[in-house]
Amino acid sequence: MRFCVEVNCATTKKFGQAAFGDTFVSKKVSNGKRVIAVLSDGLGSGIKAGVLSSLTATAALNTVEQNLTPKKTAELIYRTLPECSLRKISYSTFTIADIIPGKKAEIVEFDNPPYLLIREGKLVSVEKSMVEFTGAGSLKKIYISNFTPEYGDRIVFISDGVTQSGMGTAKYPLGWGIENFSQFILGEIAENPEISARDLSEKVLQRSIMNDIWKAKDDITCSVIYVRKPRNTLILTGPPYRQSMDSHLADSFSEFDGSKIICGGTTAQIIARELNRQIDVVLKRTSTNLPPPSVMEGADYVSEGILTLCKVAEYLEDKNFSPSIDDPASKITEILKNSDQIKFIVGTRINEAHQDPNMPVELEIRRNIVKRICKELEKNFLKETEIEYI
Amino acid sequence: MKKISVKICTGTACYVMGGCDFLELPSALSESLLTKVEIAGTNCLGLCKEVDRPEELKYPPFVMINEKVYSPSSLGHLIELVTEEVKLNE
Repeated sequence: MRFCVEVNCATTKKFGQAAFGDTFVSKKVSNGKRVIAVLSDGLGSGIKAGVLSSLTATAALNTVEQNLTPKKTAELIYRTLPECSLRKISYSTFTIADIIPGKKAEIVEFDNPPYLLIREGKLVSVEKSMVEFTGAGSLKKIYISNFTPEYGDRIVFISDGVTQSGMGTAKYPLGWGIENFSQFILGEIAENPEISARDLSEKVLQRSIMNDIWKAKDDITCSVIYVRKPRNTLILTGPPYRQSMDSHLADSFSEFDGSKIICGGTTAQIIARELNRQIDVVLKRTSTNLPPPSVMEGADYVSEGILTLCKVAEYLEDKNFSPSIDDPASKITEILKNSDQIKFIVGTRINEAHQDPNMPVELEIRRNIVKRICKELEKNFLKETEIEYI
Repeated sequence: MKKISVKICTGTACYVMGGCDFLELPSALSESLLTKVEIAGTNCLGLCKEVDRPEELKYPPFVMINEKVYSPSSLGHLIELVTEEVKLNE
């Protein structure tokens, strides 16, 4: 049985600060079968906190990968942390998750709010064992818990910016608190049981910022790890080199189990002809001036080819991308980000008209854009991709 | 009276060669004309790939008015073509 671990983190810095004080890092190892994620909150906020937390998080990520014990990891971190010149102490918190779906999960906690394990829409309490270690001259305690991750499990960890959000306001004089936070998470899952790690972490972040009346009083971070069945997406783009492959293209489309996107008018026409379906163009200007999408039975989205895919590649490369309404490329980018395994079937027939030097814009070769998109999806979004050329 | 059919190609080549402006046709036509035409978008008509087309109809963007191929130079030109076709139909 195949598992997929979706990891996402939503974070913001304290209002007015230039740097993030919380750091979240994650890594898929052993060919994606093991996932390690670390959240660290550095002492204070701003650049000093950022240095402490990024040191802690990256060190923990590497030591856990090398199978060092939690105690050794904690000691090593505390031996290397620089001392704050103001407070004369070195301090940063961490939560480490080491997960092999279906087999084992180990969570190591040090001074962050307790993590939540949510299974079948309910909180599961896991027994924690306490281990002491000496760090920065004093005895400190880490808590270790183990369980077997199952389908549908969500592991949520946060920095104290979430639980302390809203502190001092009339509504939450002592902060939002772990209780309210847990209820909020359970409510969101009850409302949308399939909610992605990305959407859930973003909802917690937005709610916490709202509690702080839109000016975060501390660094706020929420990370969600969601163990689930992989979400598959198929993108068909370009007509096959040989016309005899048209039926193969249509069969791949109809037999695929997952979201189906067609990028290309001619490609859509081939599939519509082979499967005897109708395509209707949505005759409306798009917000980003891309050609309009079409509608076809069985396809989750049908768009134009080259220009739209180029825009998708641009969006994936842009770290500050925010989707816009009525934009085909935004729509496809969102579908891709919410998928785990993405297969591209790329037709290699060249449209001579696209190579006309009279064209006012340079049209990229389809194969190159698809490669660019795949590279981005794998590197920055930890997706699995596959390309088939026909 | 049968409505005039106007099909606007939204394929990549047509779109970048000026066809994007043709999407404004429904809002650019007068109301009286609008009742006499049926405007639809279409995926690539494949006309840009035909090499043996007459010179004036060789380059995108393409529009089909009552199944006849045109290559309007602008939205204004397309409105003229549609208006002419409506007059002929009357």
